[in-house]
Amino acid sequence: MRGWNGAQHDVDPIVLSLSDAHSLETLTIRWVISNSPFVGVVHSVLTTQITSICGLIKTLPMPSAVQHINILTFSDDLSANLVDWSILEETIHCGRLRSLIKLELTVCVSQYVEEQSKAIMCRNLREDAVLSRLIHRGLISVSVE
Amino acid sequence: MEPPAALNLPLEVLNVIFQLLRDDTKSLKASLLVNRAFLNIVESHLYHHIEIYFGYRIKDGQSTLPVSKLSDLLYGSPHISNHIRSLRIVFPPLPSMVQGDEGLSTILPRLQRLKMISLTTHYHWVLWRTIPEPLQAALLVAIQSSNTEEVDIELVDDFPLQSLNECSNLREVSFSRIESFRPEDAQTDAAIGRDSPCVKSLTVGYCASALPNLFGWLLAPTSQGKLIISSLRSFVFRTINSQDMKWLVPMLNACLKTLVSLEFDASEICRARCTHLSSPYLSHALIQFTHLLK
Repeated sequence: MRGWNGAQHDVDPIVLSLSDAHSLETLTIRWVISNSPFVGVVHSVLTTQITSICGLIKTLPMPSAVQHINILTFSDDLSANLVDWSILEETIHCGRLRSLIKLELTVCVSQYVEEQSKAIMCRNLREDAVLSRLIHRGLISVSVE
Repeated sequence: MEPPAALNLPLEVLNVIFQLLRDDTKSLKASLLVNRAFLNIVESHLYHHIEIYFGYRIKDGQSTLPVSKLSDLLYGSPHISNHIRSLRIVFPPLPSMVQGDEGLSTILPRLQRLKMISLTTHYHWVLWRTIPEPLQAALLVAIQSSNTEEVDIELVDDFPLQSLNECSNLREVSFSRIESFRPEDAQTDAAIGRDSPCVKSLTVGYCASALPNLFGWLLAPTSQGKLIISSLRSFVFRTINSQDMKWLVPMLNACLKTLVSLEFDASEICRARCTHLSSPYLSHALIQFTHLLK
């Protein structure tokens, strides 16, 4: 396995499944998605991470008891707007999340990003075609910190 | 003139109001002076949580006392010991500072109603074995008391994990920023005879090199043949090390059926390296996590 920076890594084939989590009501994942000036490369990492998190959600039982999902990710102020969020929508509608009350998506940016840039980033995310649809249905909330 | 309506409220209602003021020591202290009925209720909230330190403090807190002052307080008003339900002990940077202030080992046996015990330091870390033996013994007796439901250990290395096997009513455990635990001791006859704890809430944060011992303990059957975490409802796992992920699988296999709340938190790794994703270490963490979730 080769990391995005070219470093070689041995990765154990660990598989995590939540298929036995019948009573799980709250799932929180706080994890780095991206934080790099190299947008093109990071964009792929960002998409990969969202795909992975959605993959984890899809291991939940059908249906699950999950009511709240909190996802905290990290990004520069450009990458998050390049992600195709349709996988998130597909995951929410896959039938496992019938008890879902709210998915909270928080995107953290560097402390060096100005407030104005954060506000623009947040507005762009909320105006994303997929995310705005989910927000309108009251299924998710999106914030930038 | 009629007395203010607040003075006529039922005691149960006043109790709830003062409970909400627990973090506002100034208001509680002012309320103590209203009348005797208020005094009795407010005292139980004012002294509900106490943080004690040795020598000097570097962090101010509303309920923070030096050991000597707590000793004086309990000497003058012994009934206050019954109000203390939660105790946070902040160890000093040097063991010699504990040795110069050993009153705590005589205070602890008087706190018979403690439900929560927290051990920490505001400095780099403290080694359990450097704490004076009388205080070690008193702390273990307090932790193993049948009233103790919550134990929080942060930045205290070399803590004897096996001692928690004797905490029959332990429900919440938190281990944070610990690098090592004391190697397993043989169980005492008393421990074998006791009910094992049945932990409902577990937080493991940044215990990288201590994880083999910690998870070994959590995943080992107790003398009653069950796991301490067999009824776990809340599990929080915080890490900055991608290698730690391998522990999640056996942990979740052991407790997933009963979990109501699950949290993976690796956000510190991002905050610490907020401007670049250039570290091979971080990159490795990303890849490891990606594979873990696939």
